[in-house]
Amino acid sequence: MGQPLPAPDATDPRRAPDWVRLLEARATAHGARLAYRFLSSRGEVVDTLSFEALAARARAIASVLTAGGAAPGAPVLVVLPSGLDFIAAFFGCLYAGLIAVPVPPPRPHRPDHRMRKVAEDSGARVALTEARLVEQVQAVLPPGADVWTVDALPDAPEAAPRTPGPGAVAFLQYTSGSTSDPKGVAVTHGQLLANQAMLAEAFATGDPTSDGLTSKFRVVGWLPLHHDMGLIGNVLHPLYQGGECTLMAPETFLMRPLRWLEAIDRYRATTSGAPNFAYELCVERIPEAKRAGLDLSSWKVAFNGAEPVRAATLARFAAAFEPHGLPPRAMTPCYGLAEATLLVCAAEAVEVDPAGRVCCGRPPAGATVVVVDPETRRPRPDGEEGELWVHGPAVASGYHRAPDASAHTFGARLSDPDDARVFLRTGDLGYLDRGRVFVTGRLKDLMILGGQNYYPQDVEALTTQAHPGLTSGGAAAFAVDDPAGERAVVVAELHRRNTEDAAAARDAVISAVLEGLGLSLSEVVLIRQGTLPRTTSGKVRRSACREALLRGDLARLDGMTS
Amino acid sequence: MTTPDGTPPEAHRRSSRASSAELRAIVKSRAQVEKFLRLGLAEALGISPDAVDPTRTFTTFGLDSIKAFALTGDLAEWLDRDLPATLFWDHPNIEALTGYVADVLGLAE
Repeated sequence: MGQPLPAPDATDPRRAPDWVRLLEARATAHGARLAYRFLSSRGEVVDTLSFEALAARARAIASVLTAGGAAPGAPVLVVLPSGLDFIAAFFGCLYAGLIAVPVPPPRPHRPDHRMRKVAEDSGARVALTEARLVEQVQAVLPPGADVWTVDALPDAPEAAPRTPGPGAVAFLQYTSGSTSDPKGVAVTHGQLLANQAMLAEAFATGDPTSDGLTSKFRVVGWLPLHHDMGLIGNVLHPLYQGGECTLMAPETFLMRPLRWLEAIDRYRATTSGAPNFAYELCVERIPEAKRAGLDLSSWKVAFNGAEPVRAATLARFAAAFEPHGLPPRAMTPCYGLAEATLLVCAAEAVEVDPAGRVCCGRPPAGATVVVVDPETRRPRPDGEEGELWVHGPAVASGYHRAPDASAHTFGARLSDPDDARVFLRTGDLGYLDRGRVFVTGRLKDLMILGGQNYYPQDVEALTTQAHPGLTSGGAAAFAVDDPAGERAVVVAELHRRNTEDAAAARDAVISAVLEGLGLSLSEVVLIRQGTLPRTTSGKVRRSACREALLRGDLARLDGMTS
Repeated sequence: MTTPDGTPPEAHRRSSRASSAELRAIVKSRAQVEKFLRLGLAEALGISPDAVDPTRTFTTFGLDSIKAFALTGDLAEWLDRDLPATLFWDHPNIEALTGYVADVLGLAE
């Protein structure tokens, strides 16, 4: 970890008990200084917010929510594209003592099952959106729900900001929820603040040599704002630090990855990061000639998390961009998950074990990671693989309105009856080496591609509904490891009378999974009916299926063996 | 991949500082736009350009959003003009997308 931080004094906004008082303190301290700017797809500044302007907008939005009669602690759907309106709306919810529930805006011309599921699961009866989305948002809420537009806010009598305190839930994080069974991680103000302190230590961003308000801390980001890393890492961390944040839409990066690095250069970003796939995209899609003008020397922390970190990617990215100023120690592999608010640990330097696994460092002060045998609940010694369990002040309270799932995931206890600590079961596998975490795999069958989590049961359900020759329970979805990342594969049994339809069935599956989940399957393997590996009780064995595929042991209808 | 006039795409990317008129002179016809899309899609999906049916919906090829945005960015750069990020969703096959681009640029048949 970086050097220990000086203890903040009582007037330091970072000691605020909640995010309302933190923003108020920042607004008082920094006034009209720029807090956020937003860039167009051409890289031009199209919107800005100062600290005091953000606080004023949050107060205005909170006044409308309060006048609308929303009771403290009620969930509010926040359906907005990437932009500064999202940040104002998020803080508007907090200023009204409400729970923000960020949801990605629906894509044009497509039904939005995710927004509907999140609306239902959260129980929201209030939403903040923009004028062009009002009808779509109204359609997923119960009749009579209040839908407010932040781009055309009605007048409301000014309400004093509420002071929720550290124990109040600030927002629900739905990124890791399955589409068929979404789960919103309930994160309190206090947990969100505790994770910010961990980020500050892990990234050593609280620069004690600056003016004490760390205004030299500058972030550039493009991750979706409804994503934990986009919201907590990119939007909230600069505010916590009193720094400066430059944002662009995810599409801006995906259309032209160079825009990200150009913004880091122009705005002298100290901290900027993304999941592993984004670093791959930069190497692939920014040719040598386009790298020439870049000066990345300000980029001290290039964090890489939210999906497995690849040693090959780190090496390729460093080789491509160190000649253009990227500091040699910038690459910062991290491990985290929404259930732990965001960050669990981050590496100080790139270190790769003999099996090619990347070190994710030690957890910052206050947090503990143990490696546990998930059956016996006994800790495993250094170097032995087990499930990663996390304990600390930033672990979230649980899943919203899901007590059984919360008790299972958030209420784990070690076998030692004298150990009173309660742990989060991450479902991830790894080992410890002198306190440093190496992530090795996953206990659950979760698939992570492009920084997004996908549940195999969702993929399998869409697969078997895609074509009449496929039947429920006759498919297995899993991720296959490739040097550059994971790829998604489905193996499905095709009914004997439909073997002529194999090509049509394959196309139908690819379309259905892409339409339903946004996931691009790299391979659809159709096999003879009755040949999918199953348990004696008939349950599909996904890992056995993956191994059979890799060995070439499946009864493929296309006659190929691998 | 090569572009319709036979040069590698890098040559076009490097020429992005050329004036729009010069670039549009490179884009001579909608047939060339169609070919650009066909080659781009084939490369993104790792399939043969001959296997790309211009009336087939992009999603049935397995074109995900990351690849669709990348192709939109490449097309925008090649044409030297802004294109909406939702391009591949608004015009879901090569034929429709070519027609849109041809209309916007006023291209000859």
